[in-house]
Amino acid sequence: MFEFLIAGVQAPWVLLVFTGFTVGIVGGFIGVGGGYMVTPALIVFGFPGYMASGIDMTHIAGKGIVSTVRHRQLGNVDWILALSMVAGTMFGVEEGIRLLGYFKRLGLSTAALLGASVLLMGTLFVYTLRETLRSHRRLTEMAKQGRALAREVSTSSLPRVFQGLPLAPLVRCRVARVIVSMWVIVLVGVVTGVLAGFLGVGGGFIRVPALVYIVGASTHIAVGTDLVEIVFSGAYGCLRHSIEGNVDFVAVLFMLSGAMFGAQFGSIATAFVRGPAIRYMLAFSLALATLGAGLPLVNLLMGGKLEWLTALSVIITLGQMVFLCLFILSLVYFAYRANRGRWVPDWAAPLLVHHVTTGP
Amino acid sequence: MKRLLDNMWTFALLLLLVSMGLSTVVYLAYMRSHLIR
Repeated sequence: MFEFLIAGVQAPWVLLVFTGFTVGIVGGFIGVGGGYMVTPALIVFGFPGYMASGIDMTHIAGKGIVSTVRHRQLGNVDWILALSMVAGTMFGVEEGIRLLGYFKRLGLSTAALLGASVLLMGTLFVYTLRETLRSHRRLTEMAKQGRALAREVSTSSLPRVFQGLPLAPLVRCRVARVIVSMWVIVLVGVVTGVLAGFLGVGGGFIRVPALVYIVGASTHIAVGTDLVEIVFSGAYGCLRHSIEGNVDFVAVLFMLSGAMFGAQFGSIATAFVRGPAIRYMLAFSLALATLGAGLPLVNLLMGGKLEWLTALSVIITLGQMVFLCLFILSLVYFAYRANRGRWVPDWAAPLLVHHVTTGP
Repeated sequence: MKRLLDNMWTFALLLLLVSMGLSTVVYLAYMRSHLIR
């Protein structure tokens, strides 16, 4: 136990470091800040709700920089795409917050907000999982035919529709290898920003699928580019929370000491897998987040009679960061084995990148 | 064991059970410490 003087609580510092590490791995791998996992965890560790949000946002800003630097070294950041989106995202987040205030004045209930959140995450989960399963099947077929496997395989036809829009100016994103209208990029930034601001989340889990399925970037580029956005939005959130006095910097330091290593590991781990593996993790994360938000909604609709559902939702939220972390570690371990010509599960083999050619 | 790992869904379920078990332990420990307080 450690006494956090600013927050005025005693909390287990080991769990803070552990949370920073696990969420760092997940965030670096799928390109999210992980606020929806960290905030409930900090509340369970004893921090008051407002402090939990402040600490979470400040640690996301620091962790985002570490992940972005690593992804840049791996060539996963398209700066043209990222910087074109930043202004739209920031504008969108601010408008989303205002929209939320407007709807609240009109009498929007918590249930409606939770319902919207569940609907959005559920839809993204279904689309991402279905598309990823198709891509995985295609990769498996290509591997059986002995064809060379690309790092990215996507079966979605949506990017072709959006890339075909003849709206000037057209932007050439060299790293992402995409030519698309600037309006599409800005609109993706604004819409994902509005949704993020309205639902009170960072928005990584909305932006990564949007970059893949609308702009047409590869999953690796989408993750790296989204992390640039997270640095900006995290820094803004950190500033806002610091002014409000919601940040215990000692707790942030504990979390960052774990996140520093986790974020680097998660970012480097993307080099061992193909795009669909990252999208699988994103889909699993969306599924568990939908469940985590859906259970309190059911409790709310039942008039608060099923309080145990809220407890179950906290357990699922805490469990999902460990689950995703273990899955990512397993994929890296399988890649290590595959590169040494050892046995790996049939489903995993096509998802892994072989750095060393084995055999004749 | 290999047969268990050869299906992605059983592998995911196995990991899910382990992680949910761990998070339940942490949550129960939190509840216990709060009840003692």
